[in-house]
Amino acid sequence: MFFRPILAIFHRAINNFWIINGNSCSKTPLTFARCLLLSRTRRKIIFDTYFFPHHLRFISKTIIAVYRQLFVSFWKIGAFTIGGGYVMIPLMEKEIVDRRHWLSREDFLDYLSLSQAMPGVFAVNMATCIGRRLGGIRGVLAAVAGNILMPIALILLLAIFFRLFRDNVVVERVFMGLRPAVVALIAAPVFRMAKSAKIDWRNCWIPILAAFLIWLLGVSPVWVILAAIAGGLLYGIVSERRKKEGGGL
Amino acid sequence: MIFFKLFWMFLKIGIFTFGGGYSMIALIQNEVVEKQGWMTAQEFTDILAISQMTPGPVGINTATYAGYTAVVNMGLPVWQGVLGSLLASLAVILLPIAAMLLVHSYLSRHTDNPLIAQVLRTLRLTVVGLIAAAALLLLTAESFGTPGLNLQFVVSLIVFAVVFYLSVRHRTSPILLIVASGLVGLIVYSL
Repeated sequence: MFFRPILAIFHRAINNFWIINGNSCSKTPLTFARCLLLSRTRRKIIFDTYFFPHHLRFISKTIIAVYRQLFVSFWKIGAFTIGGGYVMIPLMEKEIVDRRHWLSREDFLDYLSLSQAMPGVFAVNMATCIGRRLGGIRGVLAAVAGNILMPIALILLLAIFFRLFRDNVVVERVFMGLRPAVVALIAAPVFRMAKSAKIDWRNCWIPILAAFLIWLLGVSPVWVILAAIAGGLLYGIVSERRKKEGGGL
Repeated sequence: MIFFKLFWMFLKIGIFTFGGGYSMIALIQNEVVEKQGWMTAQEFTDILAISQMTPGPVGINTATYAGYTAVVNMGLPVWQGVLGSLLASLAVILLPIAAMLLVHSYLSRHTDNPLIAQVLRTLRLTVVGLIAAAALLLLTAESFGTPGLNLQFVVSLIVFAVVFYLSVRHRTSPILLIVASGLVGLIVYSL
């Protein structure tokens, strides 16, 4: 009985929080216990929206803090991982789940599988998901910009300078040595991914056919991907129907 | 107009990339090297080497660098190359972000849909083939030297085998492998 007014205060504050962060709602409603686990900024937003509902400038300042944090976090993730999207996963988890407490570990894993399933660059997909959840479309912009800013700037610098030194004897020798290594590094994921894609004798013709079409016949990978989507849909529909008929009998 | 072409091309590449940056390599290679002939296979291999050694997503790095090289190879000035690279990297992320925003709320509720699961399984299988094709297309005389008993070809084969083994079996870091093989090249070819 004694706690009721206090709880009411919290619930009203939480409601305000949802309104302000329009599309940032998680699947499970925010309970009182989870509210205490929130990051400092989110607690501060809840606090501010309750105690200073008219001070919009003050509130927007804390919301801007979320954009800034998104930018900084994804800047870190983009700028300090070498070797592509999947190398980023541990750092992302540390930054987003452990440090900022933006997502629970289950939600993080959900977003991970979603980003892997969708087309595009994995790290940018991840930034899109998390940015959207925390700050709507502006959050997406902040997270994506933070993620790609540093790599693009670095690559541009390197591209401009590499053209100047390309014909240098030393550079030429170094690249003669490392070109086969690059080809090997691209061939290696084929064998690593073959395990995770669960290739066996019945379906190994799919990757072999795809590689053959692109390599020897010069078919565009776009058509191969489209064929794969169509084939997957067809197979899914047929096997579904068969399963239903089997259940009926 | 090369910039429109570049933008359109990388829009296409972005939306058809499934399964990470390595499958994007096959798409970029097909468009930029095979179809348009904007750069040689050797130049593309150099781009891949540098993209893997610099921080950031490999897909973004490769797109940025390929956009720059394609424009500058036409004989256009550097600032137009910078514009081209920015356009390419923007185009690559544009459609996937839009798709993500559209599908996000639906798909996160329906990932256990058997139909979607089946499509994803087929795509995952195909992407393995896509990456294999990219690696096969890079097996060129420019990168490995003319086949035969000459120094470059033999050294290249050894480097390829060792790097492949270390990467598959021991998951050695790509950076270490690239730097080490660069050093090997510097030492062996200087002798």
